[in-house]
Parts: sequence; structure tokens; C-alpha cells
Amino acid sequence: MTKTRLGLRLQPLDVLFFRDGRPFEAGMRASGGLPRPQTLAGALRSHLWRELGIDFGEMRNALKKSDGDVPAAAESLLGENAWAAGIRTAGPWLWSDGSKKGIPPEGPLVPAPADLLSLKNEEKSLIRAAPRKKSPDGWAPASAGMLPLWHGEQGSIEAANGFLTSQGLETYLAGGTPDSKDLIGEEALYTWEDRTGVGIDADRRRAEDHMLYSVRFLRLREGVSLYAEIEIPSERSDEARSLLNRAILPFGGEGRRVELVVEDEPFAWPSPGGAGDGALALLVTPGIFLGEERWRPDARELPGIVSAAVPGSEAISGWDMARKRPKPTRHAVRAGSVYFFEKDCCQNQGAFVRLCGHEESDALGYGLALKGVWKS
Amino acid sequence: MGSTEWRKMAIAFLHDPPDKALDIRSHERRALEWIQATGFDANETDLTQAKNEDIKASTEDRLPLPDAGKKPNFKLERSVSFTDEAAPNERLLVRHPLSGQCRTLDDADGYGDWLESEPVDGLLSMVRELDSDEARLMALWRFLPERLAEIDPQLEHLPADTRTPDHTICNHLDLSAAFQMALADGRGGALLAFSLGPVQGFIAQAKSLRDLWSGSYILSWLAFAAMKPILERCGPAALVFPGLRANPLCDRWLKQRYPGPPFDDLLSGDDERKALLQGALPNTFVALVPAGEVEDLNAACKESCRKAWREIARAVHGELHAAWQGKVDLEWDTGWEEQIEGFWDLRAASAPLRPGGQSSKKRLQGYFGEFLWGECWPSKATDDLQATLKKAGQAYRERDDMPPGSWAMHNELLGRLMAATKAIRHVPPHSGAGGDRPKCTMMGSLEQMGPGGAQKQQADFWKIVANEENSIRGTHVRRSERLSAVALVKRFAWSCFFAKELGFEATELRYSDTATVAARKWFKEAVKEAPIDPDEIREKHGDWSGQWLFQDPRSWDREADADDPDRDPPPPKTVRKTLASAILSKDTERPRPYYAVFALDGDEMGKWLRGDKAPTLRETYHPKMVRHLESLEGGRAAMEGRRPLSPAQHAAMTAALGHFARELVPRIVDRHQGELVYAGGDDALAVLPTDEAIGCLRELRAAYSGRGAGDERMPEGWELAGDGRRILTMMGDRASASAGLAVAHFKTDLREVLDAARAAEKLLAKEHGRDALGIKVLKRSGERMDLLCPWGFAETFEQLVGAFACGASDRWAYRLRQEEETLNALPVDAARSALKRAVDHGDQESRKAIADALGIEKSKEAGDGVAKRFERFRELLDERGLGQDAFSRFVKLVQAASFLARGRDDR
Repeated sequence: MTKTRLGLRLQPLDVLFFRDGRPFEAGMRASGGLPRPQTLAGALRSHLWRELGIDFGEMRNALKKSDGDVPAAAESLLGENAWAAGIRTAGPWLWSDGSKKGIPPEGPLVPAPADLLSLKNEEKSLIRAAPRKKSPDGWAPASAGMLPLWHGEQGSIEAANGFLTSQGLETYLAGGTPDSKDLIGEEALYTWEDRTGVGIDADRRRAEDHMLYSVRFLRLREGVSLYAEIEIPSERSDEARSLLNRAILPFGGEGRRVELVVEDEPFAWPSPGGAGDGALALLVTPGIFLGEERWRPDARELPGIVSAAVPGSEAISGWDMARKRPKPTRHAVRAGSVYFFEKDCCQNQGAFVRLCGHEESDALGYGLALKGVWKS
Repeated sequence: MGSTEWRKMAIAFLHDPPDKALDIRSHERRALEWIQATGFDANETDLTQAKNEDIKASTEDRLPLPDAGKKPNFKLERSVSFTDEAAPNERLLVRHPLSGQCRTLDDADGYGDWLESEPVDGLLSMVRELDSDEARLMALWRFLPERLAEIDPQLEHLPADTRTPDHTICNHLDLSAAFQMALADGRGGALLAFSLGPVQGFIAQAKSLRDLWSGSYILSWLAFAAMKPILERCGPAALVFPGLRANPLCDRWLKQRYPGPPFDDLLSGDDERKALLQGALPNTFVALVPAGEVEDLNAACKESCRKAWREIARAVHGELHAAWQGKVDLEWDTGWEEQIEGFWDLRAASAPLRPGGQSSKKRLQGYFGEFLWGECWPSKATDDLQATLKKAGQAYRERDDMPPGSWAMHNELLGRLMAATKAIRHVPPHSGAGGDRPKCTMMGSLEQMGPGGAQKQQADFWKIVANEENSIRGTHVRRSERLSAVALVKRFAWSCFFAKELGFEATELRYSDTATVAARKWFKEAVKEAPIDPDEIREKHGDWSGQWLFQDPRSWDREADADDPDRDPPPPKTVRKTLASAILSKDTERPRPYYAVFALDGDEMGKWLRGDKAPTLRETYHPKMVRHLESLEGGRAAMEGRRPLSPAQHAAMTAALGHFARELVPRIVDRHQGELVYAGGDDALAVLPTDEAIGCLRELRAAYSGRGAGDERMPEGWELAGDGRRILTMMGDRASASAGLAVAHFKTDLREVLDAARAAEKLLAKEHGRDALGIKVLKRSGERMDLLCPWGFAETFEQLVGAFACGASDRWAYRLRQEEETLNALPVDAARSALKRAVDHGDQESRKAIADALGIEKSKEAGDGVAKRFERFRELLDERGLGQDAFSRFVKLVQAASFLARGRDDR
């Protein structure tokens, strides 16, 4: 079955809120972050399934039968629209429409690759670290045979934090070093708004004692929205397009909403050819790896990693609707992680390489990577 | 390590007598006398071995020096006599290791035979009685510098080399011992770096100051545990960073390991015991170790650290299990082991000093050029100077094995190896058994303990656990909390482990809560006749909570408030009346609910460690030597170059940071009624009443560089220790530090306040030119203020806080705030006039308070005074390229000063 990618723009109608997994109570601040792949997948699935007539009361029973397998439960209820059960989503990423001065040119913005470093000089020039075949004395690799990620620049250096423009991404994947103007700091794209609220006693219609709380909302700058993709069986793409375009749907917490716009064409992710010293895979969404070494895709399925830059992890959980309890925490390596290969690494599936190696994470859009090359 | 190795190390430690500078010619004889006085059986051959070329090469700072020749052709102009009566202006001259600032030591009474003096003789007689060479070396290392200071505080500052008097004999002796050990196996030494994390992910996840302290203390404890294998194998001098001399945890270790004198006096005073409770070690260390033992030591450090963590966790688990047994589901601890074992990320990296077995200058240059950057060799100036000396026929034979600058390069390479090791960050284990429980309310990425299954069962479990009778020696879980294994360890570490381990009663840890810190002024000022003392109430009545001060006393008689699960139990009945009358008194204002948290951090430590900020060679040599070297052809130009970082400078930096963290920060924070959470490395974190915060930070900033003692005899770069008996080398006037200050209501989530303090430091101060104070004000109403105060303006800022505390009105600032956009755009004179007018239109009382605070004689000149301060502020911002909205920034700072003075929302 052929698949069609649809490009979606998510235009917030207000501030947005995506909270971490920590319980939230009075006196606490619910710290928010950027939306995760499963938030996007959940929002799009819910919207499509609702539009296609799923009764969510029945969904709970179906989930029990399917042992918590959400697509399977949906499939059992969707009938002729079963295609909508197995949709795969990708993103969301920040998107600049390039319409305003001070924001990047039109295109998606992906988290800066972790091998990209910034010199602490006035220009904040960018440099790239690369696997070094001849290691200095004293190098003790995490896994046998791994090469140190190295650079030969002088001066104080820090991780290049921010987001890479599409131009910067193209340069990077082709083995080049992006210009510092292609690295956009978060302050140019969004701000955090702390809002203090008070719990209301609905019966007495007055503020409850001791129920002051604060929430940290995400406010995208003017000209900045979110971009995502959804994979649909080609023969149903027109139907999906009409269901999604101009839809207003809840996205994240606190009842905040976005308007969906289906793009004429999805974004053409760069896929540079050209030679380098090896291939690389840049994670553009967080990756959940269930093998022994949680920082990397399973070595049996994806051998040949000679070096890596993994800037950290984030805890991913969720709610198991069938069992009415939280899902076990998985620690996903952050988007921006880079895996270096001596030779070519792996094959694209659509626009992306899928690194997680398990269906649930793949469908939710975790572990999506873009291929590129590295040069020493 | 065998006794022979300890003996060799001890002889290396005394291979130069501490008074070498006072009489160079007889120093070898005196070194032997010192060695023999410590009870070591040594002769001249031993001494010669201790001075072997390797050790000398490594420990001397290897700056080019003219060969003065030997009698009868000795050239006086090529040498420096420290006690030269003929040059009174340059006699007894030392230089600051990091700024080059000169200081002339006073003629001291103690310049006699130190071996006969009571402090040294007393120490050595105890050292002789010790039954092992290891213990002797440890005693010498630990006590000798302070015994010298007892004779005269200046003695521990005598230079190792009178011609380059920028490093002390004590630094030199430490390094000699360290290199003796590291090079003993003939394979050359190596630098070993160790790092323990996550730091913020552990410490800053705290719901109370006590949790914050506990996290910070556990981290220090584990860092010290990781250092122990190095201490035991290589001796204490092997720790290049941080310095362990006088560190309370190290003192405790010495006392336990070597019972009896002289160690039994350690930590015996009240202040020293108190110091033991301060987290004072950073999460990283660097050590000098034998190259052949790097792998073993790396593994041993990691294992020692893990073992220490397991011990704490086991003690907490054991006590909780015993306390809760029979009351809760026995399966409450499912997943405990997984969380404990998977939490820490331990990393180590090493860089051999003789990479590839080679250490010739040429090869080292090539090696560093290959792995660092092409022209990385930092010693062009010293190469030029050496060439100058050669040309003049005055050069010593050039040593080739540890050329100047190589220490900095080894450190740089070590840093890059550690960065490469950390390129793949720790990814914690995915949840296993018990993974379907909700998340911990303190550490959101971990599951809470307790039963799985229905929410009601979980709620019942935590209700039982939070019951007062299930507290452990005063430590409890609040009703709103649901904690993971790691959070429980953090919460109960003191009562279940540290109190017993350190020999304290559980009640002795008197860590105030944020409400108490916020209200500190009130205790002293509000009830003058009978001040309320929280410690006294806790001692007499068994409990204290700062929350009581902000409650309606009538509510104390009611049952526990189910709507407010974080509410502490009411005060004991015996103190309710006293408290209630104080709180409700109409003669006094209510306690202030806002407090301040600061995070302070040294600037550009990487540059310091690379030697990029080191003094020039001209600022390093003794003035007489400068004159001589500059008289040679090419000498003047060479003296412009920077002094390459040497091991001794590195040691001086380590010592300066240790002095700051251990001696000065606690004293200054205490003076300003604060609670110190952590001070170690170049970092400090503390909590203060709002109106004390700026004064405290100003003092800390001054102390960091060494200009806060207020003692005119102390030139910049040095400080007097609290008891006045020690002179401490600080970072000097070329070093700077930045701080972030967060001001928040005591009910604000502490994690948010800590985040704000760190963000103020990093994003406001460091990103805007450093050497500044960033401030974030988090009002309960949701209003936020971000401010930047360069240290050069902090005195005025503090004065303004004082003015508002004395009753000045801030209405003028609020009025000006409405016009800020216009005034930003106008020329500076217009802004000045507006400020002057606004202040002068205020009431007489306000003008007087402002004038008094700013040190202006006449009230009518208050407006002009404020306008002048604004002009200065604008200049300071201009230097940072931020002058364009100086007016807005100034007015916001004035408003913030008023808020800090009030410590409350209402005006």
C-alpha cells in the first residue's frame, strides 16, 4: 500500500501547555516544555477517529480487549475506515513562516545537532566536532571501538543551543558547518509565560483556600507555528486532507487549541548526497531505545556506529487508558542526538530513517532521523 | 602503597625546608634537619633522590632563569636574596600568583629557628610518635602550613623561589610529594578527572531547604567517597582540584583513619563540627596519579562512590521499612533497587603526562598541536626568554621533559577527553517493576514508591506514611507528597544515616525553612522585649515551623486542614500564646514572606585553567630579576608574554577557591542572617532575608577577589581568615564572579526559585558581560522582573535598599516607570533631569532617607545624587553595550530595591 505524506501546520490560537509527568498540585509550578511526538499523535488520532465516528466510550472496552494496543482497539471500531488506525505521525517541529523581520526564513526548525558547538566569542561562531580516528592517549571509549568526538578549535566552547534553520540543516547534513545565523535561539521563537491561578470551589463559587498554583505556558512568537506530518494510505489522502484542513483541535493541556492547515506539499527534507568520511543519522525527534545500551539504536539492528553525540534524555510516560494508570517511564534520548557511522548507515523509510526499531514508537513518531555525512 | 613509598613522599614533601627563602645557601642542610626532626631516617642520598630531575622538572615552574654561577664567580645581579637589607623596597617581596600584585611581607618575629618554635616542635614531636610513615606524611601535609601560620601568618606565604616569588613554598612542597608518587612507577604520571552527575537533576529537585541541603550534602559526600581511593593510594597532595587540606570531610577521614594525636583535635570545636555539615566539595575532581594505575584507580573511584550511595540508601530503606512495617503493604518498595542503582552517572577521563611514553618538548609540541590546535603551545614568551639567556651565555641547561606550558596543555587535553567521554550522556534505565505508578512529586521522572494498582490504595499508603507517628526522628513525608526511592533517600538521609555517621543528634541539624529565613528580621526587630528564637522554641518544645508566622493563630486550635496538605501541624500549645501575641501585635509589622536565593559562580574558569588570564612574565619575576632580564637583548619584549600555567599556579587557584568556599562564604552568609546550602569549588548557593541579599553578595564578590577584609594591611588578592591568624590567598583582582538572585514568596515552589536563581546567573549576568549580578523577582501575583546590576553599581543598589528600609517612598520610581519609553529615547541629560525632579518632588522624609543612604550631606541634593548614580549606571551598561535602555533598567532596579527592603507585596 503506497503512503502519502501530508504536511500540517499547527497554528496556536492561544498559549499552549505541555507539562512534564510530575503530579501537579497547589503551591507548585507546572513546568511546561515543547510538545512531544506522542502529544501530536494523540491529538491527530483523536481528531481523525472522532471525525470518523469512533465512540470513545466504546474505545475503553476495545482497549481492554486489545490489551492496551491503541491502534488495534481503534481498528476494531473503525470498520471501513480502519486505515485511520495505523496512521503514522511525525513532529511536531517549530516552523517559521519567514514573514517577519528577526525570525528565520520559511521552513521547519530542528533542535541543534549535539556535535555542533559554539565558540564563546562575539560572533558565536559554530564549529563541528567529528569522530577522530587517531585517538589521544588516555581515551577510554564507552563501547569498544568507539572513537572520540573531537574538535581542534582554541578557546572556550559550549554546546550550540537552539534550533537549526532548513538552510543550516541542509549544510549540516552535507557535512558542512552551518553559519551562526542559521542557529536560532529559543528567545527568537517562543517565550514562556508564567501564569498564576487559583483553584475555584465550584459549589461555593469562590476561590479555594491554599489552592494558588502557577503554570508555565508556551507562547510562540508571531510568525512562528508548529509543523508536523502524517502518513496516510494514498487512496485515502484526499479524505484525510478534508478531515484535517482548517480543523480546530485541542493540543496539549489546559484546553488550549490549534488550527490545522494542510500544506499543498509536505516540506522537502534535505537528503544530501555527496561524499564524506562516513554517514550520520541526526535524530529530529526524541528516540526511545529499548536495548541494553539505551543511548543508541539496537546494535544488532543498526551496527557500525563509531561515535555519537547524545546530549541527554527526557522521561516519557503517558496514561494507559486500558489499565487506568500511568505508562511506565521510558527515557528517550533527545532530539539533536547524532550517530556517526563509518560507512552508510541505514535506509530511509519515507522522508526519515526510523531508529527506534519498535512499532509503537515508530507510529508515534519517536526516533525519526535524517541522514547525512560527516567529514573529519 | 608500601611504607617505602610513603617515606619517599614525605621526604619529597620536605626536600626544601619551609624557610628556604630566608637562606638559600644552607637550605639543603636545613631540609635534612627537618626530615630528621619528623622521625624519618634519611641521609643526603635520600634527599638527593627526592630532588631527582623528574620531580624538579615537574614541580619547578620552569621559567627561564639566569645561571648565577658558583663561587668565586657568583653573579649577585642574577640572584635575589629574599632578605636583602640593601634593597629595603624589594625585601621580603612576594607576588600574587594570579594577578601578579606585589606584596611585601612584614619583618616577622618568627624568622628564627622554626624547628624550635612551639607550634612546629609540638607538631613534629607528635609526628615522630606516629606508627606509620603514611600517618606521618598525612600529619605533615595537614598541619604544617597552619603551624607555620601560628608562628606568624606570613610564613606560609614565603616563596618557593625568590626569583619568581609567585608561588609559595607550601604549594611547591605539596606538588613535590604528589609528583614523587605519580612518577614513582617510571611510566610518567597522568591526570585523572572524575565527574559525578546529575547535579542539578539531583540537588535542585527539592521541596524544602532541608531537601536542598540534603541533596547538596549527599553530592559532596559521594564526591569525597570517590576521592578516597586516590587519597589512600597516592596521598592527599595528589588532589589537584579541589584542595582537601582543612576540608571537613577529609579531616573526618583523617581522624578516623589515624586515631590519636595530632588528628584527634580535628573537628573538635563547635564551629568545626558545624562546618562538617556544609556541603563543600564539587562534583568533579582532578588528581595526579601514576600512569600505570589509571584504570585501576578509575574503577576504584567509581566503586567507592557507588558503595557510599548504596550505604546511604540502604540505611534509609532499612529504617523506613522498620518504621512502616505492619502499617503498609510490604511491597511498597518495588523498584527501589532499580532507581537507586540507575540514578548516578559516573565518568572519568585521563591524560598521561608522557603521551606515547615521550615527553621531549618537541614531541609534546607536536602531540598537543595534533590534538588541540595548531599553534597551541603557550610558551613562546618563555622560549624567547630562554633564547635571550642563551645568547647572553647565562642559560642553564634547558630541561626538556616538562617545559613551561605543558601543564596547561595537559589540563586542556584532559578537559577535552572528559568532554568526549560525556558526549554520550547518561540515559537512565527504563522503568521496570512498579513502573506503572504515578510519578514522584519531587523528582518527576521517577515513579513514586508505594503500592501499584488502584489510586485509592496509593493514597491510603501515603496517608499512613505521612502520619506524624511514622516520622523518623523529626523527619517526615508531607501529606501532599508521593516520593520515589531517590527522593526518600534525599529526605531521610540525615535522620537515617548522616546524623549517626557524623556523630550528631538528629535534632542538631537546624535548617531553617524559607518562611523562617524570610521573617528573620522580624524575630529581632518586632518583639524587642522578648525576641522569638526559633532554635530555642524547637529545643524547648520540640518543634518549629516558619509557616506559623503567616497563619491566623485562631486556626491553630482547629483540626488539621484537609484542604492544605502541606500545612505543618500547629505550634505546641505551650508557645501558642507567645507567638500569637507577637504575630497579632499592633505595634509591629507582620513578618515578611519574601526571601532571596542566590547562586554565585566564578567567571571564565576555563580561561584561567588554560593560562589565558595569567599575569605577564614581567608580573611574575621579582623586580630585580625583571630588571636583569630586561637588560638583555630581546628580554623586554619577551617579558610582555603571559606566564604559562604551572602546577603551582593551578594549586594556588585551587587553594584560593577553597579559602573562598570554606572560610569566607560561611562567615559572610552567616553575618547576613542567611542559610548557606552549598559552597565548594567556585560555586555557592544560599538563602537570605531580602534586605540582606545585596550587602551579602557585594561582600562575597569582594572576598572572591580578595578585597573584602577591610584590613588596610592586606593588599588586593589576599584576605585575613576569621580568626585573624591566617592570611588567605584569593583569586585576585583579575578574577571575577557572577551571581544570580531570585526573590520569591516562601510558598513559591522552591524548584522554581532555584531555577530562577540559576537563570539569573547564566542568562542575565553571564550572558551580559559577566562580573555582574542578575536578579529575578517572582511576585506571588505572577508579576516577574528581570534585572541586571553590574557589581560596580551594587553599592548604590544596596544603599537604595537601605533608603527604602528607612522609610523613603518609591512613588517617584513608579511615576517614572510610566514614562520610561520616552525617557529611554531622550538624551541622558533629559533622563537625569527627570530623575532629579522626581526625587526632589518627594517628601522631606524620603529625600532625607535617600540622601543619608547615598552619603549625601543635604537632603535637597538627594535628587541630584540619584541622577548622578543613574549616570554611572548608564556608563556601566554602555561598557556592556546595553546603554540604550539604561533608564528603564535603572528605574526597575529602584523598584526592586524598594521591594527587597519591604520583603512583602503591600506598600
